[in-house]
Amino acid sequence: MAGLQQKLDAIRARFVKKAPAEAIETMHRATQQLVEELARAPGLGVGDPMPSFRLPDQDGTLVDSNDLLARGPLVLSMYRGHW
Amino acid sequence: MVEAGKLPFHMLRDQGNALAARFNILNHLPGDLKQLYLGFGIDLEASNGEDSWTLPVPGSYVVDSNGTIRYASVDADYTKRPEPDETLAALESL
Repeated sequence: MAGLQQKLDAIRARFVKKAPAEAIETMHRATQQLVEELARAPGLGVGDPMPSFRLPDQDGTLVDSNDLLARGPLVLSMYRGHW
Repeated sequence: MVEAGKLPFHMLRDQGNALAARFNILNHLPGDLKQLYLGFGIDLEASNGEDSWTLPVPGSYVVDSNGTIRYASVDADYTKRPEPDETLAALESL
């Protein structure tokens, strides 16, 4: 099942159709720069310890990663939010 | 989405991207991209509540109960995301 990526690719295709060439070029260049930066300094990966954290949730309640891990494994998704 | 009702997971706020920095997935947007985003009406200073114009590279991780990362999916191309099935399979394989 390739559901999510297909949807994302469709969004991207619609954007590329409408956006000015210069905008596409600027975005592409920025992504290439980021690819190079990550190649030079890769992020944490398999085998690395997850940094512990204590962060507020949507209600402002502090959530401690050690409490979460005490209950079992975690799925952690890092992404851009809008607060 | 948060207002739509109770979420079955925690949505946490990484103010200032401090946690993203510790995962080494910081993306400092270059100046011309910042101008482009502003032109699109995207103002990260307003969204993030600070003016660094830094975002996390999107990443999905599965961490075992010892705190060790056992699966990591990070792509500098933010239009590419792992299929949820793949992440769940990694969780189930622990």
